[in-house]
Amino acid sequence: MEVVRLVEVTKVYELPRGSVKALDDVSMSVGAGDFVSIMGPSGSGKSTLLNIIGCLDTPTSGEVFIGGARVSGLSDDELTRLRLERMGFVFQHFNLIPTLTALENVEFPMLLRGMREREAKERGKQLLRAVGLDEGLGEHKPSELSGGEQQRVAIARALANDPDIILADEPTGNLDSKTSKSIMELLKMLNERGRTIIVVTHDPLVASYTARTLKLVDGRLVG
Amino acid sequence: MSIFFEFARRNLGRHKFRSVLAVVGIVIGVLALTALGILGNSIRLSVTEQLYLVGNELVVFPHGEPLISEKNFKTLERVADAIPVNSQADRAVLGSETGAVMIYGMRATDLPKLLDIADGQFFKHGSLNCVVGASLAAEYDLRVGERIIIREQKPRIVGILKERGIGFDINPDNAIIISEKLFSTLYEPEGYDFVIVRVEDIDKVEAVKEEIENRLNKKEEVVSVMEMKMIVESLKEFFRMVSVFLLGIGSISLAVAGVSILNVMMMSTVERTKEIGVMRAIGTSRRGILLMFLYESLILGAVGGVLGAMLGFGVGYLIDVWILGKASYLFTPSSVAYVFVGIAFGVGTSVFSGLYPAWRASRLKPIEALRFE
Ligand SMILES: Nc1ncnc2c1ncn2[C@@H]1O[C@H](COP(=O)(O)OP(=O)(O)OP(=O)(O)O)[C@@H](O)[C@H]1O
Ligand SMILES: [Mg+2]
Repeated sequence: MEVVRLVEVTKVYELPRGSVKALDDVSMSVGAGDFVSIMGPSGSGKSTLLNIIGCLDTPTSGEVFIGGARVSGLSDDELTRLRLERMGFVFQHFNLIPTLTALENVEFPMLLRGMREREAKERGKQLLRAVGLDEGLGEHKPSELSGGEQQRVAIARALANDPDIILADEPTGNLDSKTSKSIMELLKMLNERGRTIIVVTHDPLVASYTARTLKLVDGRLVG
Repeated sequence: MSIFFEFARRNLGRHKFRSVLAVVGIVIGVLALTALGILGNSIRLSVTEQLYLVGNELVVFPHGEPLISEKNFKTLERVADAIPVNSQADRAVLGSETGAVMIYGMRATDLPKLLDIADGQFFKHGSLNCVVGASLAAEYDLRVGERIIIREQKPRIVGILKERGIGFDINPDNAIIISEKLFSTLYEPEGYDFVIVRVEDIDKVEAVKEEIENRLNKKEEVVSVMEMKMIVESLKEFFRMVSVFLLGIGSISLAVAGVSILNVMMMSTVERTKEIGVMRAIGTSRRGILLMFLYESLILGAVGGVLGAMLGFGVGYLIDVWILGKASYLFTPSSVAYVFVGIAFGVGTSVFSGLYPAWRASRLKPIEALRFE
C-alpha cells in the first residue's frame, strides 16, 4: 500500500535576488512499512522535501498524495488535522515543549485529538517505556534530560496518535555517535514492527540502517 | 480546551517578573478606576443627600423691584398652586442664647405642602406661634412648648420640623417659620420676597413657566422664574461629568496598563515563535494557539482586575473617610458596582490588548515559525 506519493513536485523560493529552486520536478512514492533515507549535500532540498511530505509546506507546482488522498486545496485546519492524525515529526533539535514534562509532551498530541486525560497518561507511559526512556524520567522537564533522552521522548510523542508515517529531519544531528546509533536502533525496531519512516540525514551510517536511500542534488532526485 | 489554559498558566510562570509587572499595571489601572469611580459616586450621593430637590417646583423672584406685589401674586395664584414666602434674617433669643437666624413668614395652609413635622404640630392660620427647623432646634436645644423672642414678640414653639436639606426655595432646617400675620406685625412687608409655584405634572413645568412670564413680564420684566427641574437636571449633568472625568483619569492608567500587556504579549509571541511552530507542526490548530495567548491575557487581566478592584475599594474607603468624613456611601449598590466595573475593565483591557498578539501568533505559518531561531 502506498502511503506517500509525490508527482512532479517543484518548490521555488522567490527571493529579492532571483528565485531559488529548492525542489525540481521530484516524483517519488513511499509504501507502507518502508524505511527510507533522504541524503544529499547541504542545500540540496532535503528538508524542503520532508516538509512537503509532512504537509507543513506546499509545493509551488505538482501534487502530493497522502494515503491516496490529494493534499492540495486542503484548508489550514484540515492540514493541521492531517498532521495530527497521520504524521509523526522528529526534529534535529528535539523541539519538546519546555513547559511540559516528558510524559506531558507525549500526552499532548493525544489530548489535542480529544483523548481523555487518563487514557492519554496511560498510553504516554507505555510509549515512553517502548522508546526505552528510564522509568521516572517521565516527570522531568526537557531541560533536565540529555539529548538522547529528549530524542526518545520526541519519538514517543511522534508515535502518540499512531501515525501513518514518521518523518525525521536529521534526528541524530545533535547527538554523539553512540547515542545516534541507539536512536537509529530504536527507529529500526519501530520499522520492523511496521512503521513507515522517512529520515533525512547527512550521515552514511544513519542511511545504512534504512532499506532505501534517495539522493538529492540541487533539488533533483538522482539514482 | 483546558490544556491551553494550562499552557497559558505555565507560560506566565516562565517569566514571573515580567508577568508580575504586567499584573501590577492592571492593578494600578483598575485601582484608579475603582477608587475614582467610588469617589465620584460618593460625592454625588453626599451632595444629593444634602440637597432638597423637587423637579416640579418653580420659584418666582421679583425682578427690578424688591418684592412681588399682592396683585402679581394673585395672578400667579390663578396659574397654579402658588405659595407666597417672606423671609428676613434677624436676631432671636433661643433658649438661653441669642443668635442670628432666618425667619420665614408663610401661610399655615402652605406648611404641610412643603414641610414635615417631627415633633408637635404646625401652627394654625393667623397664629402667633412658630415652628423651628431641626438643626436649629438641635443647636439651641429647643423643645415644643418653649417660647423664643424675636424683637418684642414671644412666639411659642408648637412644632419642630423634620430635617429637609438645602433647597433652592426655602432652607427651613436652620430657620424659624412664623405665620404671615406675625411676620407682618414684625416687619410690615409690602409684598412677598418670593413665591413657590408647584406644578402637578412635571411635564407641564415649562408650560407653566412660560405662562407666568407671559402674564407678568408682558410690558416689562417684573419677575424671574427659577426652574427647579433645570437645576436638578444640570446638577445631574454636573455629577455625570464629574464621574466621567474621574473615570477618564482611571481609564488612562488602565490604557497604559493595556499597552504594557500588549508589549509583554508581543514579546512572548516573538520569543516563542519556534515553539508555536512546533505546536502547529504536531497538530495544534490556529484556534488552539489563539486560545493559549488569550488565556494568558485573561489570567493577567483577571488577577490584576480582582486585586486592583479590592485595593480600589480599600482606597475608596480611605478617600471617602478623608474627604467626606464617613464611609457610609461606600456600601451602597452604586458604589460597590464600581468594584465590578473595575474588574470588568481590567479583564476587558487585558484581553483586548492580547487580541492582536494572539491573532498574530495564530497566523504564523508553521514552516516559517519552525525555522525561526
Ligand atoms: N524559507 C526559505 N526561503 C528561501 N529559500 C529557502 C527557504 N528554505 C530553504 N530555502 C533554500 O532552498 C534550498 C534547499 O533548502 P533545504 O533546507 O531544503 O536544504 P537541506 O538539504 O535541508 O540543507 P541542510 O542539509 O543544510 O539542512 C536551499 O538553497 C535554501 O537556501
Ligand atoms: Mg535540512
